[in-house]
Amino acid sequence: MVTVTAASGVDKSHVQKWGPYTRWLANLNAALKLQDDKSHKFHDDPYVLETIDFKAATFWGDNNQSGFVYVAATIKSKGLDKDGKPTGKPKVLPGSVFLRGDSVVIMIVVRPQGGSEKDDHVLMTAQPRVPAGSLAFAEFPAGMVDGKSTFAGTAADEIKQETGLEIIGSDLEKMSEIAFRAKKPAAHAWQALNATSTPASDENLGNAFYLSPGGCDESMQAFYAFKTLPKDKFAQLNGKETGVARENERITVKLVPLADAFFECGRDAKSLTALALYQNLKAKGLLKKR
Amino acid sequence: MTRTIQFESWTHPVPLTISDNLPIEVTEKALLDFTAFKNWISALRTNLERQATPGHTFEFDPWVLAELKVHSIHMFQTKDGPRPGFMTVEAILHRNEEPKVLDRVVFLRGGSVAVLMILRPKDSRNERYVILTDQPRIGACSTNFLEIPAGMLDDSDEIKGKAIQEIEEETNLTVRKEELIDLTALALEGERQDEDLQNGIYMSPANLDEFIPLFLWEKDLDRKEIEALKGRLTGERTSDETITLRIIAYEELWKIGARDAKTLASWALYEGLNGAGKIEEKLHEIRIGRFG
Repeated sequence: MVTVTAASGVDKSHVQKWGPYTRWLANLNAALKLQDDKSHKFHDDPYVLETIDFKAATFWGDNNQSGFVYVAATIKSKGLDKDGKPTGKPKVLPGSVFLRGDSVVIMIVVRPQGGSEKDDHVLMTAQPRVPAGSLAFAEFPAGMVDGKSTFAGTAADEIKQETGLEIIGSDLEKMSEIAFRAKKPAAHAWQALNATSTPASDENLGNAFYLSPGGCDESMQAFYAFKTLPKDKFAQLNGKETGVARENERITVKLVPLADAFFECGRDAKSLTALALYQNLKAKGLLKKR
Repeated sequence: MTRTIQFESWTHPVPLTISDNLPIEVTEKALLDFTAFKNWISALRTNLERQATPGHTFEFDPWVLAELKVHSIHMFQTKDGPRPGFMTVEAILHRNEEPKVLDRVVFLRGGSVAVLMILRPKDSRNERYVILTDQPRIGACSTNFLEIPAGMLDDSDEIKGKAIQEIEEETNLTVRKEELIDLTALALEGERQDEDLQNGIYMSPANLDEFIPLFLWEKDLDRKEIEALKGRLTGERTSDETITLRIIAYEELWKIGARDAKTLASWALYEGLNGAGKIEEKLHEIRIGRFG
């Protein structure tokens, strides 16, 4: 039985009903359950979730559904050797996690009407990112895909405001999903040499990548969209700083030549990751031809 | 439930609200002794001051730090006693025109260093293998999460030294500093730098201060040395982590590492820099003993 506590000022029952927390807890329990399998490398000395403490929480928005929760979990084993004898050294997992739920990144390739592949640019945003101490952090647009499969969030709003572009479901190619569906790696002598124990099934991880898997639940899916813009609108955007202040952010939208994307977003993990997926899937012919 | 002091190490005193029941007595000095906080507040200050530069987006209506909050602190047990390891803080900035308020929660944990380790068997021209670590990762809720080797930077860590420590702890391979190629520094060479930012990849800058300098260590080894590395269990480190090594073919890296952002990012940097000939240039310098 897991003991759940909360720091004073944190609404424990609200957190316990909050989507990202319930999903994280369900995924964690599912992963720990896999240890029951005899072939699991931790089967002899499994990790057990003992306590959860909500150390801090911030909520806002409709019904306080948007938020962050900082959780400290105690996850440890009994410290048994492979014969089941206690060694006196239980194994402890680092259990501090910042919960904030899932998100998406979109690589939006824009071509001027009448142009060709050599004219392709990628749409980037720049905005304050206080955790990096930055007032103008360059990234591929990030946000959410809403219930109508449309790219949503403040970056999406800003892009629509500045370019007139709205990215809807049929525009989106789900790069993360395509990558995971790609043929399983061919059996390789080196992988056979690695088979000391069967890796546990990772099906519960979903078709997404984790930004900081040790201490944050954030999983992200990468999408790709291709749009054309009228030549004058394209020229207006290209290299120019735009942006009308919206909500609590000021997001600048800019176009960058596709060949330079790598250097412009060199500090941003999700942008580099989306670029990596795009380049690989394109080279393998797994994205639509434009 | 909270108390407020003045944070003085700023252009003007800033109210700092501190939650009760924290594991240490939070003073300005205690905060500045926490490297992650010190680096973060210093970068924020520098970049806010740069707003005065002619042509800056916020030149005529700059953001001003109005308030700081400390919500929670997680302590690490170190050889020098308990020290803050993670901290949740909040920064509130104001300006005159809309949007007037920027209110952000930050999960401070400092940087890590990661290494893309590529091994080439001496008896082959085209084969490359990558070493990955396989360990439980609670954020991702996995007991076997695959990543390139990485470790958190401590207060006193020199980055290359930490990278070497990680490699040697996990593989028993000996690495010389000169053999490490800083991929992030290479990628950011010649970048127009308007801001004070760490030379690393920011993993999730909306919430985390975490940055990761990425290194490449590319080495020719005898095939049987590579064979000896397979499936070796390493563990019993002070952090009680249990890490298994996996060796995969380089061609599979983007798929097998597809759940880990830093692994995919390191692949992107390696491919991009390799394509521009910069990796081979650096490897050549290493081989002939001219170290950059």
